[in-house]
Amino acid sequence: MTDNLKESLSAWIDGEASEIEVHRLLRQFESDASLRPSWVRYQEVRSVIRGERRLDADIHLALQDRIRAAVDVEDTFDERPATLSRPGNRYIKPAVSLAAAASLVAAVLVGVNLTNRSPEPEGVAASNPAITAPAANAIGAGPIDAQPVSTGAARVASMDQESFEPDGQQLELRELSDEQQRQLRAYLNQHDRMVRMNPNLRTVIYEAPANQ
Amino acid sequence: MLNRFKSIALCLTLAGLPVMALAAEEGDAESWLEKMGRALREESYEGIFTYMRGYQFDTVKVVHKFEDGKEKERLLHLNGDQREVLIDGDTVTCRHEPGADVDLEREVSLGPFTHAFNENLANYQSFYDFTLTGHDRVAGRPAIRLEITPKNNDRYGYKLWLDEATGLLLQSHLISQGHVLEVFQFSRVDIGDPVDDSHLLATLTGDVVVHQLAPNEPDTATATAQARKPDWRVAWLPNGFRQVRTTSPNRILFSDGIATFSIFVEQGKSSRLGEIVTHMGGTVVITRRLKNTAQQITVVGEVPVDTAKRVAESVEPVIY
Repeated sequence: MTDNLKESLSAWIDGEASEIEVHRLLRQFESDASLRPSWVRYQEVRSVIRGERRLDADIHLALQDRIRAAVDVEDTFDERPATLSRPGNRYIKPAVSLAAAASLVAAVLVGVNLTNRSPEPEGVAASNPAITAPAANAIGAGPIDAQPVSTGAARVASMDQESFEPDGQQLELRELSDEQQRQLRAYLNQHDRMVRMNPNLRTVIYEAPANQ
Repeated sequence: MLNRFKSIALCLTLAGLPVMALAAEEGDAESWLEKMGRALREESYEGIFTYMRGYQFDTVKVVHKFEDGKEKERLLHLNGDQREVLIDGDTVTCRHEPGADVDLEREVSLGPFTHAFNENLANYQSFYDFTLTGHDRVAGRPAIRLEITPKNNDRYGYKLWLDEATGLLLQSHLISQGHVLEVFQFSRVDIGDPVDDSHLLATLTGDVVVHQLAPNEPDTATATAQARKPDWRVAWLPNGFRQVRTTSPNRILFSDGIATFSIFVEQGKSSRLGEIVTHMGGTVVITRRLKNTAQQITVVGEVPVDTAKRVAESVEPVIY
């Protein structure tokens, strides 16, 4: 692993990777199969380190499963002796294994994300300031009941002025209860389907839609 | 020394060539976007893509065919529970192994855009900058890189890699202020070859659960929607967003030509969800109560959470 790559990885884990670095990481993964085992180990190490920071057990397990699955896939995908030997899924079809490289990248992406579920969200997705912003804000759409409201009450309306808010308490969808998830995903799926619809067939414009 | 200078000069010249070619021959970013919108619907392709949105990542085998003005598609999930989505025009069927908790998964759409780009919304150029940024290679195919940068942080940016030959989206990043929220990427794809109809048939057979997801809404519902006005309105929309689609007075899709969000209002049913602000990758989901009523409003879409909140907050009942 080159220093550049290490630097990018480290930046990513700290939530500070630039777009260019993210791209480089993706690229490196795809092009160099020999990097993957060390990536995975790196992730495992990081997750242990992160474990000190109140990494939820179930998330940790999920991460481990993902890593394991990734390694399994890789065993099949990469004909060379696997660095981390595990009982791999040898039955995977060629078509599936073609996707393995990409899915491993995704696994690691998700892994990075998961390892950062600490009180200070720093991961890829979590580092979006808009998304980690405290749920209480100027327009008053409050957080769910169980969620501690950030007391940094007066949020500036201009998003340009937003900075990272490390105490952001916004939950990811899957942290909600199963029932809440089920209901919200129904909306997600409906939204996806509306977006997918053939616009030529189904556009309806009301006379005076609510606007501005 | 002179030789070294020559080789540097040569390198610079060679490096400059693709950029010049790009400017001269390949049109502008907007025409590439149109090409992409068309390719998503009208190309035939088979491949495998990954789509990472927050903690959910999918590896999916896709077969897409366009025939007689109709899209047919099969999406087979390669990770996790066995699931398969079959699309035939407006009909969507999901097949999965018994016990798979499909409600806990989000259905896969093909990348972050699908149909959003052919809306022909005027002036979306006012809200984004479009730049062609060079050539690249994705899934073994020459790709052209395109950046869509919002002029304001009230919406996301995108980096796109489009197939040079067809315009099909090969890879994309959804970006919020320099951070990547979602990654979509083909790892392998064949474009333009005739697609054998047998590749569109369900492969999960035998002991599987089949459920037809309601078609988007029968035409009669659309007619009804036209007759019935919603009894709510949105008092504030981010600049450039317009109502583009609705299937009933209770669901409206808004778009600025690039990004989309939907508002749902559940009528005659009191909200059990209360006030929730959550997200998955770059997609935000917000629920709250409609002012002075027990009705639930849900805002879902690919916009930053503060934008979605402002929209949700501005929804108000209308009394005719």
